[in-house]
Amino acid sequence: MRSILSLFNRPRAARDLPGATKRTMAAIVVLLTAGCASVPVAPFQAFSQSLVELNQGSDKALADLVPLSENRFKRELAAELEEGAGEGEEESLLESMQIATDPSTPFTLKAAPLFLKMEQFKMGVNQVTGSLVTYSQLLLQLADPELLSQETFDDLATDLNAHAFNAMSTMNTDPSEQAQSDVALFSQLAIAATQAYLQSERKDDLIDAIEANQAGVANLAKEMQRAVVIIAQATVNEYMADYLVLARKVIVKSTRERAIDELISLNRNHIRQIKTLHALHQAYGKIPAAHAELAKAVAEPKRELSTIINVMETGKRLQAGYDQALAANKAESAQAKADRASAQADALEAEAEAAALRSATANLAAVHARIEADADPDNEDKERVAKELEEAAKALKEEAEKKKASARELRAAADIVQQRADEIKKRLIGAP
Amino acid sequence: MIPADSKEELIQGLLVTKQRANILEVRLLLRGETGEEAKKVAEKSKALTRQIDKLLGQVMDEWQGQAAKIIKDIKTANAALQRSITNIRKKVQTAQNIVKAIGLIDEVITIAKGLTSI
Repeated sequence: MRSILSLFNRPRAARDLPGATKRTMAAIVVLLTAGCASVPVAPFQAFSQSLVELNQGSDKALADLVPLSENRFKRELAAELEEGAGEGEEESLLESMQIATDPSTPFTLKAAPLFLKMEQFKMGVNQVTGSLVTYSQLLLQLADPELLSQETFDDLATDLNAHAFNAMSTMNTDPSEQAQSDVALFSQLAIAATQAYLQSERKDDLIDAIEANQAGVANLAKEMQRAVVIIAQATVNEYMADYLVLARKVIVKSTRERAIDELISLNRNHIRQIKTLHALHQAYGKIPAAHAELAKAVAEPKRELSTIINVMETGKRLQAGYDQALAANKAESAQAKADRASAQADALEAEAEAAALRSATANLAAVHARIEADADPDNEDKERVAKELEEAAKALKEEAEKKKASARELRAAADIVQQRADEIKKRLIGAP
Repeated sequence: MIPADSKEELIQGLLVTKQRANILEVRLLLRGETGEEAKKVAEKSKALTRQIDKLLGQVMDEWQGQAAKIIKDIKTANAALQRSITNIRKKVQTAQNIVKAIGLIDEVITIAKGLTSI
């Protein structure tokens, strides 16, 4: 009502109108605009904000999942190349890396590894949620007071009044007070009627849009719930694969200690991911009711909007949960990199030790042959054998030293990677 | 072709089987059963994971096919909303133009009045 009454304060000619005239005008304007109260913008803002947060939630869930699946693929491919494909496998993982094409068109992407399919799926999910966010933002624009700004209409009333009053003054050299009031009233009523008409049209458009799209939004929310189920299943799938790798390490004494810590961290992270996905699933389930509430909010601006508020709160909780989960995943990924570097250093150290053993054995044989040759200086065969063994021992020693140096360098690099992983873990999840 | 919902149910069932296979392998390893039995379970578990991966890939593909239709519907709704916004903006602009036009007429009248009084 403040906005309607403000019409009376601004026009220059109306400023000094008698009290009775102002009261009459107020009554007419109130009657004219009755039932055309402005559209409440807050529910549209809350709805749009909730969708942005849910969009980020599903996007982050998949952003976490893709690298986990990619790492598993790399691990399984390496193991398959070492151990061979399992019994009854139709194709090797290496074969599955080749993205198949269709006989009829080059534009299909068939049978790609799961992590690549997940990337495509992530884009699809993003497009769906993105289009819903755009929809909510357009609803917001239509509800936004800026669209029918009060200032615009105040200025229009002022300008119209000034022009009409000038015209009247030009035509009539001695305008009476009553004539001035009539001109002011005409300007204000004309603009108030325009505003009321547009306000009503805006409300009708909003209610029509919400009602026309209710089924579509419900359908979209259902599909998003399905997408969240697929994400959750893919998450469980990755968790189970990672669990088994760590469980095997826990059983082996030499890798036990670190594996137990990693298993605890894996479980913690998995619980968080599943809980947040569950919340995301529930929040998408509430979207149709929240959307329907918007139409009620337009019709009854004072109505309480429990579903929209509920969805918004879930969105905020999800945001916080995903930030934590993302940090945990980054830490896990850093540790996985450090583990790989450490495993490579372990392997090279073992190779260096084996080479050192071979060198020591060859050296022993060479020393033995030298003693035999020296004891029998006229025996050329013994001299030849001793020389050959000495040369072989020398070559093996050089090889062992090279491997030892490489192993030392790789170990130093692995230590740096571990150090960085520890720093990342400390920074992200406060790990000791 | 299995409907999408059934595929998701199937995946859920396979995940539960995979979980049991994991438990079995761990039990065999904990009992100190060397190699063969645990290895056999691990092989089956690996095959199960491949199957789950394939099904997950399929439901993701199918979902995207469904999503394309939804995106089309929402884009149509968005275009209609954009038209409503533009329409209202145009009407506000029209009101402003009318007031401007009245102002111009007002000027013309003032000039005409001036000329007639000479």
